[in-house]
Amino acid sequence: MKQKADVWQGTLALMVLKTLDTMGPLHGYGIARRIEQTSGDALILNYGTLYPSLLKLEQEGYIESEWGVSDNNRKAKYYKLTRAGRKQLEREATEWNRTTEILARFLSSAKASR
Amino acid sequence: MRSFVAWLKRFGNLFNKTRNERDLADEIESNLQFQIEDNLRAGMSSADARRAALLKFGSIDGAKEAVRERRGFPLLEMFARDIAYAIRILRRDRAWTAVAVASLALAIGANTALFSVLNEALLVKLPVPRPDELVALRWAGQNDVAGTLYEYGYIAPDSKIPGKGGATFPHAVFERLRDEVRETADLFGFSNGGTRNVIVRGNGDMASCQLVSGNFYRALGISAELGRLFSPDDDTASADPVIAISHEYWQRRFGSDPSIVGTPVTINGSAFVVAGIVPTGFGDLGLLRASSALYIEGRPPDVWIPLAMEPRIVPQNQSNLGAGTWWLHVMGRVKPQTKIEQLQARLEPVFVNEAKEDWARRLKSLGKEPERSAGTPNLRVVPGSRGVYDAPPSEPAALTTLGSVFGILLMIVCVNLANLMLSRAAKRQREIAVRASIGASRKRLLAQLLTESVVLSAAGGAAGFLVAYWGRASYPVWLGYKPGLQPIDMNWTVIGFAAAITTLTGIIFGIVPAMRVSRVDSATAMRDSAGQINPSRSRLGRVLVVAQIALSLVLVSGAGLFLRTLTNLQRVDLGFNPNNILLFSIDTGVYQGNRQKRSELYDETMRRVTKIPGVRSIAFSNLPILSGSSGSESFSIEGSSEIRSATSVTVDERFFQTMEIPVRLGRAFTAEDDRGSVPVVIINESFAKEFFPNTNPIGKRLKQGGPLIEIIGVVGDIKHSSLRAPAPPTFYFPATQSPITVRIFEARTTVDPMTILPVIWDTVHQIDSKIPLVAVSTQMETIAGRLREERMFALSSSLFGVLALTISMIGLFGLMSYAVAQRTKEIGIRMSLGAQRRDILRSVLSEAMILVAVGIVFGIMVAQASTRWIADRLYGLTPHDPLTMILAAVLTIILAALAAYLPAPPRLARGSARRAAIRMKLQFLCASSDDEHWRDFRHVAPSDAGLADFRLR
Repeated sequence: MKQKADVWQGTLALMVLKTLDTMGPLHGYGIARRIEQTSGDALILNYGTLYPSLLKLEQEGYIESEWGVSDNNRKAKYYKLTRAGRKQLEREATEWNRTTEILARFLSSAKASR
Repeated sequence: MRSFVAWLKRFGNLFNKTRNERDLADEIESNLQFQIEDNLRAGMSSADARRAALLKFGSIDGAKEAVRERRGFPLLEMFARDIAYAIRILRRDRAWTAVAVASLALAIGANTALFSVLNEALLVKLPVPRPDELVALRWAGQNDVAGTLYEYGYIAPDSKIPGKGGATFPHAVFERLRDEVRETADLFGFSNGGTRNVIVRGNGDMASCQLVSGNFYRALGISAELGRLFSPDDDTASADPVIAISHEYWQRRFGSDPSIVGTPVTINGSAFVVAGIVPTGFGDLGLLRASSALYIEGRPPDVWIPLAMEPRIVPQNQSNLGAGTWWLHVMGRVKPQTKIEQLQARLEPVFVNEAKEDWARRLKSLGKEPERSAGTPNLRVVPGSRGVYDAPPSEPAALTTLGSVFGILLMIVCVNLANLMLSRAAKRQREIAVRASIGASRKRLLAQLLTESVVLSAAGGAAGFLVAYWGRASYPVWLGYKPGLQPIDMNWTVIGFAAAITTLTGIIFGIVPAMRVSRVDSATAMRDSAGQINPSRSRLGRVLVVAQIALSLVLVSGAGLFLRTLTNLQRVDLGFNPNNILLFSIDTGVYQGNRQKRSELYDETMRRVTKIPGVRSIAFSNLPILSGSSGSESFSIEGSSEIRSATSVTVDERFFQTMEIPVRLGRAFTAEDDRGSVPVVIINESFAKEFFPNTNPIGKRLKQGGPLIEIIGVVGDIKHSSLRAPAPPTFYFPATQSPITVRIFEARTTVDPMTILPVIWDTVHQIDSKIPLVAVSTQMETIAGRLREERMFALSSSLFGVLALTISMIGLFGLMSYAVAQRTKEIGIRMSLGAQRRDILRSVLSEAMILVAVGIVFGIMVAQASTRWIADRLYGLTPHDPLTMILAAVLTIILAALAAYLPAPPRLARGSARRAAIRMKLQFLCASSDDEHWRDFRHVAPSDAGLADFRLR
C-alpha cells in the first residue's frame, strides 16, 4: 500500500493560497479535495490542520471568507484570496522555489561528489 | 504589523464566542455534506456514505479544539474558566468556604498587622533630611565622674565594655566636643525641659519643653514653617530670649494664628518671644517615649528653648548647665566623607579629659579635692538615624515573639486548609476521575485545583487585609504603647506584603492536596461508587492533624506561661499597700523664683486635702513610686573613700505611714528632723544588706559632700521602678532637710480614690486659680502601666492560643467525620457481627486519640525547645514549667476528644441501618472463604470469639 504523507503546517498555507489563486473562491471541502487531487492523492489532509490554517490566513488578512450557496444549492463558507494574499503567494512561491532549487542542487552535488 | 492585527482579531474573538462556535459547526456540517454527496455519487448507500464521510473527516471535536486554540487565547480563557469554576465550586459548599476564608483572614490579617508594626518600629528613621548622616554620642563603662545623672531611655549594654552605659553628657563636655570636630561634624545637644507653665496673652497652661543648642535646627536640616528657628546666636546667656513652638501646639493652642510669631510669652515667670513655628512631622528625637507620669507622652515637644535660657525656666540654683550634671543628649550630622570611627578616635581623648575636668570643677565647687582614681567611661559614637536610644530589648523581642506566634498561626491555618482541601478533594475523587477519563491531563487537573486554592486564599487575603486595616488603630496597644499614639500607616510595602503572603499561602496549602488528588487512576476511582479509604490520603491527613495539634499546643502553653507570669506579677509583694492611693501634684511654675510662695502653696494644698472626708492621710515625695522614673545619688560611708551610688527618694515624715511601708529598725522621720537638727537618712533593707552586711546600720554615717548624714532607720524593701527586679538599695531623705521643687502627693483614701478627685480639683482651684492640678493617677494605675506589656502578651497569646486550638479542632473534626463516613460500611459490618455502639465508639475515638497523643508529644518537644526564647519575659516560673505544660496538654486532650467524638454518633446510626443489608454480603463472603477477606474481617470483628461463633453458623 502506498504511504500517504501528512501535509506540513508551513507548506499547507502556501498550498491553500495557490489553490484559491487557481480555482477562485472555494469552500473548505473543495480546498481539501483540490489539494489531495493535485498531489495525486499522495497527501491526506487532516481537517484539524486545515481549519486552523484557514483561520490563521484569515486573521493575517491573506484570505477572506463569506457564506455562499454552492452549485447544488448547499450553504457553504467560501474563502477567497485578498490582494495581500496574492502578494504573499508570490513572495512565498519565490521563496519556496529558491529553497527547493538550492536543496536540489545541494543534494545532486552531494551525490556527485560521492 | 500583520501579526499584531491577527492578535487584535484573536482578542476580538474573545467576545463573540457563541457566534464563532455556531459558524464553525455550520462549516464542518456543510463540508461533511459535500463529502456525503460525493460518496453517494460514487454509489454508496446513504448510511455508508455518511459513515465513510465521518471516517474521512476524522475527529470533529479534535478539529474544533484545534480551531479554538487558534481563535482566541486558550491559556487565558482556560485560566478564566478555572477561576469561574473554582468560584462555583466554593459557593456550592458555603459553610466549608466560610470556615476556610475566616481562618485565612485572621491569620493573614494578623500577619499583615504585625508587618506594618515591624515596618514602623524597625525601619522608620528620624523624620529629617538624610537621617543616615546623623550620629549619636553615648558612653559606656564605669562612670565615677558624674555627680547627677539623668537618663530618659534605654541604652543597650556595650558588649566590649563592662558596666552601664548612658547617653547624656555635661554641658561643658558637649561644648568642648562640639568645638573639637567643628570641621567634620555639626554636633548638637538637647535635653528634656520638662513640662512648664506657659502664659500667652494672659492665659496659662502646661506645655512640654525641650532645651536645644543653637545649631539644633541647622544640623537636623529643619527650617521654620513660619518665622525663624534658632541660630547659635540665640544660644548665649546675653541673647534675647526666644522660643520655637511646634506646628501641633500652634494649631491646638493658637488655632494656627500667624500673628503668634513675635508675641511675648511667659514661661515659669520669665519673658520670651515666639520666634517661629517648627513644621509638623518633626517629632522629638526619642526622648518623650520614655514613660514618666510627669511627661506628656507620645507627642513632640510643644516648645523649644535655647540651652542657654535653661536657668530662666528652672528654680534658682537648680540649673543643669553647671559642672557634674550629665543631662544633655549629643547628636551630630557628619560630613559625608567622615567615618564614624575617625570621629570617635578624634573625640575619645578629648571626652575623657574634659569629663575628668568637669568632675574636678564639680568637686571644687563643693570645696573638695579632685580624686585621682575616678573611673571615666569610654566614648562611643553610634549611628543616629533612629535617634538617641536603643529600642529596649523588650521591643524587638516583643515583635519577634509576636511574629513567631503569628507565623505558627499561619502555619496552622495552612495545614488546616490543606487538610480541608484534601478531605473535600477526596469527596470529589469521582468528579476528578471523570475529568481525567475524558482527556484532562494531570497538568490541567493540577492547574484547576491550584486555582481553587489561590482563589480561596485571595478571598482570605482580601478579608485579612480588611481585618488588618480596621485593626490598625490597636497595634500600638499590642506593643504596649499608650493608645492613640499614632495610627500606623498602611503603605504599599504593607499591601505588597499582604499580597505576597496571600499568594504564598494559597500555593502552600494547595499544592500537596492537588498533587495527591490529581494522581488519580481513573479506572479505580470510578469503579467503586462508595469511595474507598485511600490509605495514603488518610496518612497525609493524619500527619497534618498531628502537626496542627503540636503547633496549637505550643501556642497554648505559651499563652499559659504568659498568663501565669501576669498573675505572678500581679500577686508580687510590693512592700507597700498600693490600694486606694491617689497620686497628684500641682504646678507652681507661675511662681517661679518665689520659693516661699511655692512652698506655702504645697503646704496649703496638703493641709486642705487632709481635711477632705475619705482621705485618711497624705504624704509627698519627689517621685511617684513605680512610675518608671527614678533618681540616684552617690555617697561614701564614713571611714571609707569608696564612692557608691544608690537610688534616692526624698519624702516627708508621713510617707512611710501613708504608703504602709514597715519600719524594720530605728525610727521614721519626724517633724523635728529639720534644717536645725542633725542631717538624717533612712535606708531600705537592700541598702543595709549591701553596704552594712552583718552590722547594725543605725547610727552609721554617710558622706555626700556636706555634713555627715546619720542613718536613723531601716524600712522594708519596696518595688521601686520595676515589678520584676528586686528592690534596689535605696535611701530616703527627709524633705525638711533637702528641699524639693516638685512634690508628688500620695493621698491614702478610704474610698475609691477617683471619687475624691473632683473634690481635690475644687480645693486646689480655691487655693489659687492660677495653679493647675497635674499628673493625676492612682497607684494601681501606675502599677498597671508597668504591667502593660505583660498584659498585652497574656491577652494576645491567649487569643492566638484559642484561635489555634479552634482551628485545629475544626481540622480534627473534619478528618474524623471524613474517616467515620468512609468507615460507615465497615461499622455496619462490625455491628452486624455483634459489636456494641460502645465498642465502635471506642475504636473510632482511640484512633483519634492516638493522633492527639502523638501531636501532644511533638508539641511538648517543640514547646520545650522554643519557650527558651521567651524565658526573659517570664516571672516566677521557668519556661519549662511542668504545671503549665500539663494544663495545656489536658485542655488540648479534652477539646480534641470532643472534636473527635462529635462526628461519630450520627454515623453509627447510619451504620446500624446498614447492618441488615450487610449480613447478606457477609454470608456470601463466608461461603467464598477467601482468606484475604477473612483477614480483613479479623480486624473489624469485636472479638475472636464472636468471629468463631459466626463461622460455626
